[in-house]
Amino acid sequence: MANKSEPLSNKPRLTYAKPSKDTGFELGSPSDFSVDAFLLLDEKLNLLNINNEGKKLFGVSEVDAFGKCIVDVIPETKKSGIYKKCRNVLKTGESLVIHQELGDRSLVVEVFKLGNSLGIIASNLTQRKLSEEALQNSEELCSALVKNLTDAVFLFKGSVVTWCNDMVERIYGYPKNELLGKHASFFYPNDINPSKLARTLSSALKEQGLFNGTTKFQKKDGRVVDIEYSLSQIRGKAPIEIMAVARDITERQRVDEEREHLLNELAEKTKELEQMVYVTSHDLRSPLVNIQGFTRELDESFKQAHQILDSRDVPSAMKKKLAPILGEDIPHAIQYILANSSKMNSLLSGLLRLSRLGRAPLNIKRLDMNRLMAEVVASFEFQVKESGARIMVEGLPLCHGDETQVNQVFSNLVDNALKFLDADRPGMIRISGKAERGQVTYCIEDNGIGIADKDRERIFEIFCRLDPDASAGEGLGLAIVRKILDRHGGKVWAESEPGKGSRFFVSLLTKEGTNDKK
Amino acid sequence: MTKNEVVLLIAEDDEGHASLIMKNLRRAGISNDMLLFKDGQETLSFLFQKGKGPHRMSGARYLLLLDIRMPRVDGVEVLRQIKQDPQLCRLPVIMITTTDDPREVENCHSLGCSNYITKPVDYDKFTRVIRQLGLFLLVVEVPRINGDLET
Repeated sequence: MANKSEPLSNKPRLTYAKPSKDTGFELGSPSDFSVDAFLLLDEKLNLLNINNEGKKLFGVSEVDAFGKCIVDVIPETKKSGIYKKCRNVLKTGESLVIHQELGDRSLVVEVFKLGNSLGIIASNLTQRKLSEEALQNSEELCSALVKNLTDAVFLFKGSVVTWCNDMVERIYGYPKNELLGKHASFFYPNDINPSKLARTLSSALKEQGLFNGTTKFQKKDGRVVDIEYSLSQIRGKAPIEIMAVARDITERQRVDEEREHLLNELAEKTKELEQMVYVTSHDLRSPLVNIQGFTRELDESFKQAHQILDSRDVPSAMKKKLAPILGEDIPHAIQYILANSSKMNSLLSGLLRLSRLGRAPLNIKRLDMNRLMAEVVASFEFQVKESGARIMVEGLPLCHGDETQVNQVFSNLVDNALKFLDADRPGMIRISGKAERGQVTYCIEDNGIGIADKDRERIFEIFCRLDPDASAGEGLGLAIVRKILDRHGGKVWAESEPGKGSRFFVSLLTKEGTNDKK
Repeated sequence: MTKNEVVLLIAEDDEGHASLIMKNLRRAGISNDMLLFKDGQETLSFLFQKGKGPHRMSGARYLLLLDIRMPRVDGVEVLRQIKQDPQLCRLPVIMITTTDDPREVENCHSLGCSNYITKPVDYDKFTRVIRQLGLFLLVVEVPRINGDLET
């Protein structure tokens, strides 16, 4: 259509029937698939045909309208001057486009000559406006999304970039215009076989419709970055259209690697330390066997010498001199040597036990804590009877852990609670527990002598014994408890009011998963 | 032949420990000949009749008291080689060591040691253990190791 008085932007075209030589127009099936109204008038402006959309828009019925003049069918055409304009188009042959308000509807009317007839297309602008607005909104949303996205977005048609967002410049280090038109293989390192890659990608896209991967990319400035990307198929038929979303994961990768490295180093160091503790405590026992052994030999020899001293052959002056040496000084010294090597031995055994604990494999499973605690408490039957204490166990939630080691934890805590009861009042020990957010916290509460604030952390240290005279032991119990809980990803801590009692809390996981770094 | 003909081989790098072991075996009434080796290499040379130094006599009865932690070749390796040898595998081996690490004990048992004794630092325990060993040696039937090995 030439010489439109106003351009119509991207307006959907209708499929017109072709003009025929004799009638001037061949009436086919007039464009009922169109969303626009279409009317065909003869040279006298009588209605020849009208499509469904037209009937709807102008409220006419086919039966009444055919052959009647347009002003009779649609009176508004006269009032609005369209009738006059139509006649003008017929006369001049020049098409024309006008805006027309019709009731609450806003129309764009296009009038043009078709052979001897006149065609009128009326589009309901109101409706289009709405759908255009919606389209615009969604386009704005879409472009805002793509613009604010911190990922690079590409569109590939075939294997070539046809569109990309601004982020590509930052991530790939190339200006946008240099990336447009690039082949997909540009985004992969040279040592990658392009046809093999294409096969991998296309089969993944065919099967799943998307592909996730990582690759290295050398930016324009030469720096190599790690890229994580996902491809999704927008159009499966040729030319295939693929959207690629990519991000720079170099930093994340670096942090991950560093973390991995540190964890390995830590595990290595822990192992080294345990090995050192193990070897030294082991090697130190060897000389101790000699110290103890030969001291006892000496003891025997001196005892024999002492006996010889009693025989008649020994002059009494010598007896007098030697008696205190053989009878007191030497046994006294020997007693000290033996007591201390014995103590050193128990310290070394403690170290060995603790280091062995760190190396023992964990067998993590679901633990019925009511059963486990009943076993623990039963094993203290004798001590409980002897001390006259009462142990109350409430219903306990389950947890996950190594049965032997968790048993050890509560055995040590109950043992401590019994050991440090106050002699002035009847002993009460209460064991309770509650589960929340994947964790269980158990509490062992006593009314014993309590712990001073300054000692609350120290008690978990190896060989710590606050009052060595008051109780037996190596000072290992709580160190073992803490070690076990460390390996289980759990915790142990104490609260106390000196003179009133202590509360020891143990937290464990309700589900599997430990911090164990083996 | 009497059981007393059994020769006790003691592989122990610590002279003090060796001396304490021998002293207490004697006190327990063991009068058998005893041969001392100060590392695993010496022990293997004797048993496999290789290199310098004394070699075992074919057809004799021996019993080996073997320490684990020794320089050059350790006790576990000595045990392993003995148990792999078709002749020597019949030699009774008693591990005497300072460690009571369950894994080490299990390892030695799986390699085929006859017994495992932890050296207690406690002297009384030590003498008790060695005396028990003495009694054990008095009743145990120690097989002859037959056949000649390459020299």
